[in-house]
Amino acid sequence: MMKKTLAILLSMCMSAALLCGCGDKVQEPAASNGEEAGADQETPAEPEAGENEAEPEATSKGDGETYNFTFVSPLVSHEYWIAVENGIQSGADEQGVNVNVLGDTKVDVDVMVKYIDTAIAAQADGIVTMALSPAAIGPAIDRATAAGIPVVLVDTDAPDSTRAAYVGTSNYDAGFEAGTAMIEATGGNAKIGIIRGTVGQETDNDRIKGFEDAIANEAGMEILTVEACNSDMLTGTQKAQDMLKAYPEMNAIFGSEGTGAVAAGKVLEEQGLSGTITVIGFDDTAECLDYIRSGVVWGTIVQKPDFMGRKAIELLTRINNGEEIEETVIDSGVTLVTKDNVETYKEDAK
Amino acid sequence: MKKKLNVNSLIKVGPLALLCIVTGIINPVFFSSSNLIDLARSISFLLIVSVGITYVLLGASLDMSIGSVMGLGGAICGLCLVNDWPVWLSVIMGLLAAAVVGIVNAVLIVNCQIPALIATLGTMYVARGIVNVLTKGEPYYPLPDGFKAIGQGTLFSIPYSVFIALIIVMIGHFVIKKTPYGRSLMAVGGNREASRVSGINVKKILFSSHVLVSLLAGFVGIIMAARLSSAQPNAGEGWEMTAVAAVIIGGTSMYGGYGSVIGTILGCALMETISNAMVLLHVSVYWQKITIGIIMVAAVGMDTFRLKKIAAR
Repeated sequence: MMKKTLAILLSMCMSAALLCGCGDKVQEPAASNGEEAGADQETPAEPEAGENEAEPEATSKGDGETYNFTFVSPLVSHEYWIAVENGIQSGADEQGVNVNVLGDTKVDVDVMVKYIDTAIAAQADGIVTMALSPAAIGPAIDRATAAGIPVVLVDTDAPDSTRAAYVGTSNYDAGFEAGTAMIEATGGNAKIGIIRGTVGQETDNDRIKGFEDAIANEAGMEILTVEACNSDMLTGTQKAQDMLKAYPEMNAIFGSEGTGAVAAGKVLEEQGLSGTITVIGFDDTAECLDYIRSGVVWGTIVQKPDFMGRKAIELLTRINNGEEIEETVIDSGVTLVTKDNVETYKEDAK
Repeated sequence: MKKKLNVNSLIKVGPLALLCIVTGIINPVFFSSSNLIDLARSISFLLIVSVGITYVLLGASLDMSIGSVMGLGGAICGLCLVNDWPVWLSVIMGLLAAAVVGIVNAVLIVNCQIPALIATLGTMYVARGIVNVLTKGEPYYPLPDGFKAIGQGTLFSIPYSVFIALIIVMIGHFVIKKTPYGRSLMAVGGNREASRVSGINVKKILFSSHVLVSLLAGFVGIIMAARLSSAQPNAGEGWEMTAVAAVIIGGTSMYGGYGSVIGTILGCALMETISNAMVLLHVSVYWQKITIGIIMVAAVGMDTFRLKKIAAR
């Protein structure tokens, strides 16, 4: 018995170790985009480690030295977060700072907390991350602030924490935009099925809440069901198929993250139902844009990941330079992409 | 003897049949041909890889890397396709990549004696890592029509994947029941040392079962990419748990030596039918996991109870 318990414990430790190894490995190709990032990204805080220890508010340095920031990504292999990362890298190039990227290939709040603690231990000059779950990430942010490391949140805020600033659109507002778009697209008459990511993810909760509030005053708008696809495309198509069967009266689908609308689009196209059901989704993956061009998906809500990343780095640099940030909540806004602006919205956003 | 076996397998169908009947009464759409076809397609994906898992479990080993191997097979195939390689060659490349992981698994487990759980957890991360490095998180898209036909084409309005799964199941069943290889696999799973002493090439048997499961997983990954018209970087994530659960629900022992491919069909059918029924029965998404868990335990419980009763006689 004892032996078995030991074996299980050991295997857990080993898998945890593997997990770290994996995360570190994945970030390499992405991080090496930045030209000067390569040299000392492995030991981000080494050059000024001593100074940091002596004086927690390490804002005074900067003569000739470059700042080392850490970006803790919730999901390194996702198009959206890669766009944020690219924004961060171009921000780093603009500001002349180094950014080290940490993150895992699946969404796990514990892993994010661990990486934030890693960044604190490495005495980074600043941390960019997102509050996947404000309750869980908040204390880690507070630890960073206590260690004199400013934290700028992108995409998802943790307003009760001691974060220095937040750049993004609240998911509630983005969901509200999607709801408004749905009213516009269906003329105020829709029986809606929602495909969300995972059950219990706050990003999804807030978007759906915003969506619900947007349509609340429309008598003709009704939500029939909410299903979860776990952000897996195959599961998404299966859920979409099942929903079409279970709710024959359904005439609209809202995907509250990147997978739902594309999955629904595949099923509708396959069953020859394109155009009969109004699909509105989130994020501008290549597939989603193609479905918008072909009329299978009516529209998608796009946040501005590139802007978020660049702004976050700019803010961290300014904080490190000793500047006061007067506006700590910066609304990056969303874009509704439909057939009308699918070719031009990227230019318009800049 | 033969008759008794049939009665036994009939009882095993019990939970699944019950679920189908209840769902069908509450929502007759369940038995509509289009729903059954959708369901058959979902089952076929899970079934193909679960046949491989059945082999691995029969040999008293384990493979946690199949989900990642699915992703890898699809991604390598997709990578070749977007570089305008011919479809047949791309498929072979996808299968080769999967086979390589299988061989690594087999070498680690059989030759290096690393516990299967740890070895395949390692390759699970490495394989997924390779997918992420290759795709940088973006799906390979668009894929050519000739390739998409593998996953989207139909014969008598039934998807190809269903026929492919049937063929694999028949071969899988035949090999276990009728060939020396199958008997050796059962023996190795039942008692490795005794099998070795009695002259079975244990290493060869285990090695081949690990390569087989990876090949099948890679194959499903490829069909999945064809079905979705894109090779998704997170394809197959979490499938190792679903497949192992389906195989165990199907009556294959986690400790090896006992089980069948037919049971695996039932396990896969039950898993996918539950998920289909949840939506058709309008079960709230918040309650679905609880319901799935209860049905799973109940299905296995019924079987265990029945076996105990037989043993007590």
